[in-house]
Amino acid sequence: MSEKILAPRAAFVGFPWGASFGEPKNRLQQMTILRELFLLLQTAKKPGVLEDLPYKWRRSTYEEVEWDSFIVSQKDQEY
Amino acid sequence: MNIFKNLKIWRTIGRITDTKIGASISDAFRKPFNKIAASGVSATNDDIPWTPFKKPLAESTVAIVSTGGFYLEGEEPFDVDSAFGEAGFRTIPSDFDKGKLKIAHTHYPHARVNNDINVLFPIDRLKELAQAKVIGKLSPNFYSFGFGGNLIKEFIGQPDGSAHQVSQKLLDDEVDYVLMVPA
Repeated sequence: MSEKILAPRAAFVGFPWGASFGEPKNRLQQMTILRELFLLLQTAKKPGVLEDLPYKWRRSTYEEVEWDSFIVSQKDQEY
Repeated sequence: MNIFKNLKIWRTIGRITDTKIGASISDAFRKPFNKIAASGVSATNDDIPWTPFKKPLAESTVAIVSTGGFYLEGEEPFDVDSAFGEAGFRTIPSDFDKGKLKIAHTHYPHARVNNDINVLFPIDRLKELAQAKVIGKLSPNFYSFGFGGNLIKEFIGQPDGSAHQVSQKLLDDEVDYVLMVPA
């Protein structure tokens, strides 16, 4: 669907319907997906970007997101 | 199409989807279902809107726009009986009481989101990010659509399509960035 309509920036994740951010109570997974989205927001250079996220349902492992470095990397962006 | 309303076909499908077997079928056949749904979309976007990233996240106001069929207790639920659903939207204040958030949407399994709202509407995660100053703040209002198959004109027709109404509300709320989360 996203391939046809093309939003300005879109990310696809192969999770079941009704669980776009992943498994219930899996905070690290939810934060990881959010990090990907906020990263795409900052790094996409042209409209129509569709990023295929690599995470597998119940088969990927997640670590605590390092938001400190994420914030620093924002400062490196040219506004 | 009154047959949908009269026989409450979508409600029946919704009840089946919410059983364990129904949810398993939904999960297993998601890809072909998605292909079928996408085959009905004739729109192509030759002129994709674009706003460059400018304002640092840490200074920004962030909102969620969902298609999860969310509404607050006491408000009108989304119409789940019409053949094509409805194209309206509901406003969800970002400080909503989780106990009062309801779902009227018969096209996806609800067990996971009932277990943890953040799998579809990541309110707790965004609050944590605001607390950690990764994002500036949450918008006062989030917005939800429900199931609205084939109601393209009602959604995006100019000037009063519901998508345009929500866009204006986001501008009124001075939102910088929106997470648009499909169900």
